[in-house]
Amino acid sequence: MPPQAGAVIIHPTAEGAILDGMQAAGTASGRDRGSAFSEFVQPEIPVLLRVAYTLTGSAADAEDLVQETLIRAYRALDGFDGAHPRAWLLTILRHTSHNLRRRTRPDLVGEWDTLTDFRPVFGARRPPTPDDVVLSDVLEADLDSAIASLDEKFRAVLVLVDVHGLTYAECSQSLGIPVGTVMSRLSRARDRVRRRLRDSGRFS
Amino acid sequence: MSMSLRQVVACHRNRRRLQRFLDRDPAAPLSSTEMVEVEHHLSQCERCTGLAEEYRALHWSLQTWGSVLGPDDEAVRRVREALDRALENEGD
Repeated sequence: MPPQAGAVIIHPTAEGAILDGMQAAGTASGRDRGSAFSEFVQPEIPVLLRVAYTLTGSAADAEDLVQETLIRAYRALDGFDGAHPRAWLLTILRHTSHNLRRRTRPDLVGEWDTLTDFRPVFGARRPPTPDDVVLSDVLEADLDSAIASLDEKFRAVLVLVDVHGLTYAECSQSLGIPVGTVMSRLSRARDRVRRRLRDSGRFS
Repeated sequence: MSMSLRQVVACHRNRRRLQRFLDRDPAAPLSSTEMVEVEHHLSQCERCTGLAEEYRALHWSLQTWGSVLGPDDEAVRRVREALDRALENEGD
């Protein structure tokens, strides 16, 4: 049974302590509660944007999706048990993505050409180091080609886990598939990309 | 150089565990016995060690590639501002 808003709950985790703060704030005023929620979710925004980008293939759509997700999360806060905040947000992100796609019927997700086309907008987080430049010269063409050759369902798992650093469980939450399926798809995706890179001389 | 049946079986068994061994993901941990067995096998098998190195190199390459692909600061800022505006409206 989900806790009631404002209820006092003892959590052993930092996230739980934050949640307690939000619930306590909920008894004070909506504005305080909003501030506490905003502070709580802000560290997760980059991860949510990465996952949203993988799901939508568009930087603009990813931002819209994350904004909608956070609003829905705020409204669903009273049903959140505080145990796994990132997983909770990723689940809401997936459901929101599904609902928005059903509503607007956009293009299919995962078109690799679209993803790479958006790189200048979405990939300007920091200027590349000299090592990055050298590495990207060597890797980009091979990696692009190898990853583009994957079926969409394998590519999504590889990108979420190995490129964006999600755990198996977080990837499972994001895509709505069991952890075992994440593992098997990841294994096959890695092997296919590895073989392609080996064939192109990257691994000798 | 031919491999004994025992070597083939050991390679097969440990290769199936190799990605979990390298990932150390909390959702799919190897037991301590399995960890020791994989480590022992890698210390003796050049082919599986080579495979492990390829997985490590691939993972590193993708991570490095991903560090350039991450969301830019402006995108994060825009989402934060939109969230703040939305929460203000929710609070009103």
